[in-house]
Amino acid sequence: MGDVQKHPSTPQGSPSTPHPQGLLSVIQKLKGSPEQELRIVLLGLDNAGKTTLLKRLASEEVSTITPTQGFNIKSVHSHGFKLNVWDIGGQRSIRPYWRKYLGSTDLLIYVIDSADQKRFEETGQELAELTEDESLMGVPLLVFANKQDLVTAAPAAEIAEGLSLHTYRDREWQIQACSALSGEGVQDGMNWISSQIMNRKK
Amino acid sequence: MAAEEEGDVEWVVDTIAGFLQGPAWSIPILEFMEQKCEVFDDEEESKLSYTEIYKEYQALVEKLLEDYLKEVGINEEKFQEAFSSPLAKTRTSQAILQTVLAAEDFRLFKKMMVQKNIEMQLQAIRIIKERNGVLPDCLTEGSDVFSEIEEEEMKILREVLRKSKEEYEIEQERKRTEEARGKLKSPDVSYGSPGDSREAIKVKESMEGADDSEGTPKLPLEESQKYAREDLKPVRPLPKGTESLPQPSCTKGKDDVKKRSAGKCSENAAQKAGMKGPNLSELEKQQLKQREDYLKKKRDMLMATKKESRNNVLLPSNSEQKEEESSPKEEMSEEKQRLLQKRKMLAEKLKEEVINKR
Repeated sequence: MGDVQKHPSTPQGSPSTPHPQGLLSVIQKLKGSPEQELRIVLLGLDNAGKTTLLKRLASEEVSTITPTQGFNIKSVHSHGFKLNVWDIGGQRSIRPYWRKYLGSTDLLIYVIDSADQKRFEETGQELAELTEDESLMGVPLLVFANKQDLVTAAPAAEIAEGLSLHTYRDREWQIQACSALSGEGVQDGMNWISSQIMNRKK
Repeated sequence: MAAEEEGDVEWVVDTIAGFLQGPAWSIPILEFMEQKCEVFDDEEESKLSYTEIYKEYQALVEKLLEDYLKEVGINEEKFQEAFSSPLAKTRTSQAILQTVLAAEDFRLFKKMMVQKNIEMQLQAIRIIKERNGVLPDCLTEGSDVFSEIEEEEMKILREVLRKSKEEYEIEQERKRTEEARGKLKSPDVSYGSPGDSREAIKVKESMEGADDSEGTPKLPLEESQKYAREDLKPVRPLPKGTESLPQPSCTKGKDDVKKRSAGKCSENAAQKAGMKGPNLSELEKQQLKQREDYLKKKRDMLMATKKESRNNVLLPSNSEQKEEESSPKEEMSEEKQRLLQKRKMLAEKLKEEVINKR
């Protein structure tokens, strides 16, 4: 991504949604599921809790999770939509691969370890780079300020400020405090996602 | 007008459905899968490398479809129209469409590749077993080291039987859930573990029945025949000229000695091999039969799956590929074979899971 461009603001609520080439998109329709499918990409630094969150969303056991070397996909059904959530490993060595998973993304979830103050800057940079990627232009962004169960966790407002979220004007965004481990706050985030989907599909 | 359009749609759908069942589609797709399936395992987490392969697959599917549409003169619009119509769903089955749909559904693609990988592994193992199921000649020739050889072979036989039994017990449990599947019959029974234990019976019977031993092995299992012969050879107590033994025209005295010792040996063999004495009860025989049938069934399932994906197309290149697959593994040591046994069990477990999930 040599020269980084500043994209002019696109009107809110109408994110661009690139779609696969002609033939394959026709094929997609033959799958026979009446639900409309959406693609959600779940990113963030290693140890932010992405896979735990993914499993939480899919109502699965969250006690035995190991660092993700590759990626995981799970489907979550919400308001008549099938949300295919892609959780891609966050280790530094894997991050260059993130870009390959951004195409046709309808919504981005970014997870932050709220107790890992030392890496706030690093995670902010990664997020800033992501949002500059062409594939994610105008794509709604949900930031989960995770690990609120830890006493050292920074509050969501503080994190939002650190990330300069208020400067993101080319997309809808939301920050949500949560604990993927206990599940607290996760549903609130999902409700925001649903509202985004409903808005968009109207 | 409407009727004409409908006919048009029908023609497009049927033409493409035909294409998807023909060699021009299935051969490149199958080749792709066979070449690339190796890295796909049944772990829930996906490897980053899957994504590259998936993208290649998407490109292949797209190209095959595009080229064909161009060739028969169906433009994209017509294709869209046809495959958006309800006819597309009634005239095509999920089985036909699977390889196409996999291009738009990563998880379906992964499932397909995992399954293909397991199939390939099982095939490779079968071929290796068929070829290496025999001990090297140096261990079976020469009667001077007879007792050593016997012991060695008994060890092996015992080990085989033990593993076979373990496997059987595991599989027996799963069998119940699988009962409804796979009714096809094929003479091509592959994995020989049950044959091995059957062989113990065969050996014993043929020994008791004295001299028709050479005529008995009628089993379809190549390797078990080999086992049988191995068992027979060291059992013969007489050095030199024993090649003619099975003929009843041998001198009487010798013949008697031979019979007795042969009978004894094989009895020994059966006991050592963990069989319950010289006589197998009807129940045990029945169990062995069940095991054989079960393995047959499993093999048939595999064959059916292959056939389906191959869509009745003869693939001359196919068998060659299989040979290639297995050839580097041919010269495997005994130790590796043991490893292989483990792998096989694992592969079968995986296979069952994957196939049953479908």
